[in-house]
Amino acid sequence: MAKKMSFSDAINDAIRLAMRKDENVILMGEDVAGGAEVDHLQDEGAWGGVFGVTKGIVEEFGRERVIDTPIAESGYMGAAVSAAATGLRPISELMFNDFIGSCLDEVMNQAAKFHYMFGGKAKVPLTIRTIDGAGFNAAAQHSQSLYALFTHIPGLKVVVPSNPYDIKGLLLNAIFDDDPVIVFEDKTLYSMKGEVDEGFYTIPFGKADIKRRGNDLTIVGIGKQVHTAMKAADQLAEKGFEAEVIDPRTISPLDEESIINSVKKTGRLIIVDEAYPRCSVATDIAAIVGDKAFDYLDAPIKRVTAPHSPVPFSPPLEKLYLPSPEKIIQAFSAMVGEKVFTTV
Amino acid sequence: MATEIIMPKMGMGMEEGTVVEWLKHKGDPVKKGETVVSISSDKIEKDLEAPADGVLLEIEAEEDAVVPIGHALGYIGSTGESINDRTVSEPERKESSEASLEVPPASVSGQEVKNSASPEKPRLRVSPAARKLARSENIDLGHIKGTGPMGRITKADVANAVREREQQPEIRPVKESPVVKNKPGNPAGTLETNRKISGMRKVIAKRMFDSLQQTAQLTLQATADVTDLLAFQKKARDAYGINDEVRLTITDFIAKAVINALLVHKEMNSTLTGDTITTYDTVRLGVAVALDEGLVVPVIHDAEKKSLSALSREIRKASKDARDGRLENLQLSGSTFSITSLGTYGIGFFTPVLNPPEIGILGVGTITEQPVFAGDEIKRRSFLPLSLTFDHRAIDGAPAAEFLATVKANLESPFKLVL
Repeated sequence: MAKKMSFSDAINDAIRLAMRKDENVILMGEDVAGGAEVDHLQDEGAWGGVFGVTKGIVEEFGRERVIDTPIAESGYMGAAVSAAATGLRPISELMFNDFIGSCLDEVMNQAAKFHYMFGGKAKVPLTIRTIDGAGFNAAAQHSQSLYALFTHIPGLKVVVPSNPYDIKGLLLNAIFDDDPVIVFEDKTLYSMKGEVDEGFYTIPFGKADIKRRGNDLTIVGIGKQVHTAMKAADQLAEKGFEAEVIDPRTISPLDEESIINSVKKTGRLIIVDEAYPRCSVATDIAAIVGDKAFDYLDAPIKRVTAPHSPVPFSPPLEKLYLPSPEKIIQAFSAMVGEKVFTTV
Repeated sequence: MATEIIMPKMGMGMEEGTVVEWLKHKGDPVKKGETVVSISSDKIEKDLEAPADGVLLEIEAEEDAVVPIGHALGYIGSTGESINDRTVSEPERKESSEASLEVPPASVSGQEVKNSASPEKPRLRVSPAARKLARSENIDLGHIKGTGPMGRITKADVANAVREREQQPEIRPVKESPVVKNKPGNPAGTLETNRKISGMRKVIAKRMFDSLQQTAQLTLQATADVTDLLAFQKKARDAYGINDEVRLTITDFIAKAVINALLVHKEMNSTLTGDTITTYDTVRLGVAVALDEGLVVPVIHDAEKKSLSALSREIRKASKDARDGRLENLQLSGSTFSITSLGTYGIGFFTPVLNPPEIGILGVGTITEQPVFAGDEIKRRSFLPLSLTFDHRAIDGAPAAEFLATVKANLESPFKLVL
């Protein structure tokens, strides 16, 4: 049975299902329970994370398993890595992915390496939930999309969902995966509603979702940019061009096959990624396709990304900074040499 | 002992050949197998290789000289060696050897001009997908106009070219490679192109001029409704399949229609030499193929005995050999009727020039779709323009028109072509 649910409710639902299923699953992070060690708040759900995503979970599972941590990422992330290495399945929330600098060693050099450095005997079933994305007027230190940093590191799995159904299935898959997984939650998607299956289900990693079929152009959208891609595809369809829109859902592992097969059919590729353009997921996909599907390309690969610049605080500038359907259509116009697409 | 470079025999009817260009100068070292001189007969042009290592001791026949077969064009030997049978006393020969000394500087400067002009040729923009398709379909990208940004050739452009080739009789445009000279007297930036007529061009020039001067040719035009033929060809091709040897193109069906018509109207399958008209029982069909440097007309012998697929195979092989420069594999004379096509260029009717001593040549134009009335209904039909040039000295307008009407009827009842 499916029911309408918001992106944040789907996350909340997934965490509860996992915690009910396996008592080794714990949730920790800054303010995830709300009001840790504050006597008069002990019986209240309080805030439940900065966006209220985990609200109410502490009431069901208690403070033993839902742990508010000090504002010290290095400390609690280290604790989460150790807990995972010694038998638990922690879900550790990094409030904003921009804060990774404070705990990168724990993630990059410990969690990602144990399995390899101990001959496969160690496993680190850690899930890091973190918030990314611009468009919330949260300025340069709270608006980045840093998934490319983690994609670069072998030993980490990287999940960038675009909708409520996917976040639930992917998060459950992450929690019960024996490798460290980092799940990116775009803050502007939390209120997005969508059909979500009730009960427990998982979505496997490395399996892209083809959102729309078409023969004229392949658009790969990363995270919430899938929606920008879909809007552009609708506008292109009005002009008689059918775009195929692909949501990779996980970028490490990446479903190269689906992307390459699509490009073999369409001959054209645009990657829409709101992250910085250099050494990004967009450049990575462009390179893979350039390498493995060169003979099928009928136009240069285009990337529609943010400029190589920090996210601006000014709301009008931030709007210009992000990819838009118009930018995608302009990129397509440049690829096919059609001048009819003057949409802006 | 010096080794002779001799004028070879390059065909049954060849008695003499013309020196087109010396690629080496007197005194140049040459290696056995290296190209030293290019020559032409009235059919083909060919590069001759050095028969031995050494230096080019002497050039006996200057460029444009006409030399009987078996005679020496020049000599290769070791430096300082003399040529036994050469008589130095002849003043004419002396002149020619002096002239040869003047060749190097002129040629060197010509080379420089060529090099400085070459960067002006725009780089061909082709998408990888287009390049791949062109390679697999054997399409020359140089003849495709790109519709992508900055004129880039896209996959769709190549696919269109393939479709056109399959619908239209096969022919390639004639591309010249001119030597571009920038004259000092010209306004800045303007270029003038001077090319000396030689080799195959010269042969074509003479034959075409003779044809127009010495025959009484005129052209009849008719349009064949090939809607059914196109459908039939597609079915036939799908059923037969496409391979490297046989493709069953529209050209093949047109050739078949012409052959069948020639069997009915034998008077058209004739040649006129002097005051004698010779009519033939067998059809030797000439199929014009454009090359980069000119045009050749390979001949399909005993064409009336060939099935459609055999005909297709021979036409395809002959035009491929012609384009690949394997002219030695081709029969280039003795045709009794020719077909020429400008179908890939959007040309409708035209006036083909007779290829004497033939008395007829059929020009094939571009198929176009037109609305026509069928009763009170308007239908979409495909039409092929046909232009028959014939020699009125040998045949009159009425029988020529009957022949053309038969070709048209054959094309309009395609099943007859395979019966």
